[in-house]
Amino acid sequence: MIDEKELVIALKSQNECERAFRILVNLYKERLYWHIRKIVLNHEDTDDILQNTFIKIYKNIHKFEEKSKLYTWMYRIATNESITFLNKKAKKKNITIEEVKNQLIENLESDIYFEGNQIQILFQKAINTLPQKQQLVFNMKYFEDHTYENLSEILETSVGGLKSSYHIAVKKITTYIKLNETI
Amino acid sequence: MKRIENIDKFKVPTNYFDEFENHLLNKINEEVLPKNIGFKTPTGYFNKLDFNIKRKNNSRLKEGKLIPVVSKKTFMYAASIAAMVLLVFSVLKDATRVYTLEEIEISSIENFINEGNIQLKQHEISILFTDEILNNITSNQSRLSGNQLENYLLENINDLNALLPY
Repeated sequence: MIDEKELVIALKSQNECERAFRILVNLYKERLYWHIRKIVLNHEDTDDILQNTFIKIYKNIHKFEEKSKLYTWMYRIATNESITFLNKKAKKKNITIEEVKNQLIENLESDIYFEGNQIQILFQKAINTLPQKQQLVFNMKYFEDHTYENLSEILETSVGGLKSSYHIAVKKITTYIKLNETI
Repeated sequence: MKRIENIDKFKVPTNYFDEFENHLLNKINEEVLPKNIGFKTPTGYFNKLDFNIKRKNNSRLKEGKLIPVVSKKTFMYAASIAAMVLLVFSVLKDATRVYTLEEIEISSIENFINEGNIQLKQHEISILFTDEILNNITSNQSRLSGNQLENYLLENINDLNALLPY
């Protein structure tokens, strides 16, 4: 088990930063990859955002004040990078962020890195009906199984707010799926 | 009752019973949802990731910073001198000209006051008016009926909810 504080010290030191960064990437690459992938849906964009996230972490580690856990700080960077990416894409195409996500969902059927069926596509469509923040709460709680306390730090929202947000999200998604499955 | 007394020493997490219903409903609802989202990655993707990040970071560093032909310091000196010259000319040009009150537009005076360049106190404004005008202003206000006030608000306020107390 690698101690987070020691890792931060190593990351901030000139001699050890490269070795520590390699450890950091290996520790978090998969978790951050899947976190980003659930937001932007396709592999190529996820890969790009993940690399940018790690580069940002590497360049800004000296600004990390250790007020929160390194892990929550990294998740926050990954989340911001992903949302900024979607916003930029929407602005470029002159459409809303929801429309961008709808297009990404439509592309899933022909995506070689997607092996889901119609239910999984419907599931993605259902998630996309939620407001952006609720999507994050749902994905992070349902798939990644974060604790509400961790989520509260990452998303800067109260535990109570997150609980009710997750409850509403589950309800909306199941209603959407039940309604659209039968049609 | 006796049984409750027996378990009296046990505790539950704060708000456990308040949140129990939501937890249970979430669990029931989640049963309908797929556990797998169907995404996959190219073979060996995570093994090559460290290398790819390093390469991307290095290529960004190699792009390097652009060195401007004119240094920032020189530019700042030149800009300051130009600004000073402009200021001197504009002050000298306008200094000789004296404006009368009639020549200044009312809107310019309003803007000058609105921008906070002059702070007028209530008594300073009131000395500009005669007693007769002041009496008219106050008596006009008292003549506003409840209906007139209501009509004014209905016609001019877009969001009536803003008037409601919280």
